[in-house]
Amino acid sequence: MNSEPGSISSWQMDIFREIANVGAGNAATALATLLDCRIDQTVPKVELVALGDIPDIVGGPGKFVVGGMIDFYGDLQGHLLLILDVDQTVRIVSLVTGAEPRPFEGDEFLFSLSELDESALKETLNIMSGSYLTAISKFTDLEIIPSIPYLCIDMAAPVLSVVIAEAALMGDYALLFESQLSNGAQNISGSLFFIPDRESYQLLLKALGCEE
Amino acid sequence: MPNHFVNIAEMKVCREPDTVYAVGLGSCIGVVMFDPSTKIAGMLHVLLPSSEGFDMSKNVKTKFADLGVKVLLEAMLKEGARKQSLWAKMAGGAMMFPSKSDLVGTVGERNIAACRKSIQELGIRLIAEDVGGTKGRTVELNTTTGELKVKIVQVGEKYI
Repeated sequence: MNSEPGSISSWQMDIFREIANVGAGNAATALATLLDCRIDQTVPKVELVALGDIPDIVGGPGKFVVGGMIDFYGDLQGHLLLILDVDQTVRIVSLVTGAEPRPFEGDEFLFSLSELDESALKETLNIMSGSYLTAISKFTDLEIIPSIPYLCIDMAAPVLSVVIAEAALMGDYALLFESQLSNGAQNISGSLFFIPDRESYQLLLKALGCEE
Repeated sequence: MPNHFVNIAEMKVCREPDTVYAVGLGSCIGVVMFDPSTKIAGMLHVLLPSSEGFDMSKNVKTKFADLGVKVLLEAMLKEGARKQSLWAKMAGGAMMFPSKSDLVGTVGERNIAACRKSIQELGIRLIAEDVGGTKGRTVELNTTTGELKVKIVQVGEKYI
C-alpha cells in the first residue's frame, strides 16, 4: 500500500476509522478506570498526513513532550505511541500514584521522571495499550502481542522520529490513527497514535473483508 | 536575515548572512555542507538510509541518505559553491527508544553509516559530526564562521 493522497478509498478509510474507534474507546475506558475519573475520547482522526507535518499535530517539532511507546508483534506489527505534555504527565502520575502533583521548578526542559513516576507512567501505558490492542485483536480476529513500554522525554520531532521513519517506508505521507483522550475538569489530555507497519495495513483491511 | 527551516526530508541552500537550521533531529540526520570561500551553505534532513526497493515516483529523494546527499551537493554547486573548498558536517542519528524492534532500534545508526558513506563517495570531506546517543538535537549553521550549533535538551549547546 502506498500512502499517496487519493490512494485509499473512502470505504477503506471508514474501516480504519472503525478500528481506531474500537481501540481508542477501550483505551479511554481503561484509563478512566485507572485514574478514577471520566475520560472522553474525540472522534478518532484517520488521515493522511505529510511526513513533515506530523510533529505539528502535537504542537510542533521543538515542543517538549513525554512519549510512551509500545511495539506490537504477531499477526499485526507496529507501534502505539502516547504523547503527553509535561504538565499532563505530572497530573496523570499524580492520579495514578495518589501523590500530590509534583510542582516542577522552573524550566520544563529540565523535567525528569523519578523512578516512581516512570513506573506509574509505564503502568498507565501498559493498561491503555493492552486494552487498545486487545480490542483490535478481538475486532479483527488477529493476534497482537504488546512489548514492554518505552519512555522518551524530548522534543516532539525526535520522539516521533522513528514512527515517522516507519511511515516513510510507505511513501511521503503517513496514515495516522490519532485519538485525543481528555478529561476537561482534571485538565488531562494526550494524543494516542496507532501505527501499523506496511503489511499490517493490508492485513487489517483483509481481516475486515475489504481488500485493495 | 532569514533563517531557513529544513523540515523532514527537505533540503535547503542559502548564502551568508542567511542561515539554515533543523529542529528536533532524532533518528534523522542533518547533513550540512559549507563552502567558506563563497559562504554558500546547505542542509539536508534525512530520514532513511537507503532508497533501494522504493518506487521513486512516490518517494522524495531527499528522504534518503544515498540519494539526498547528492541532491544537496548538486544544489550547492548550482548555487555557485566550489567543490574543492566544500566540507560537510552532520548531526543526529540518535536511538530515541531502546526498543527491540528492528527499525526503531537501528534506523539512527544506519542513517549515520549511510550518510558517512554518501559523503565520502562524493569526495567531500566530513570534518565534524555529533551523532548517536539517545537525545534529540536542534542544529543551526553559522554561515559566517561555518560553525554548527548543536542544542540538546537538558544538556546544553555545543559547537562543532
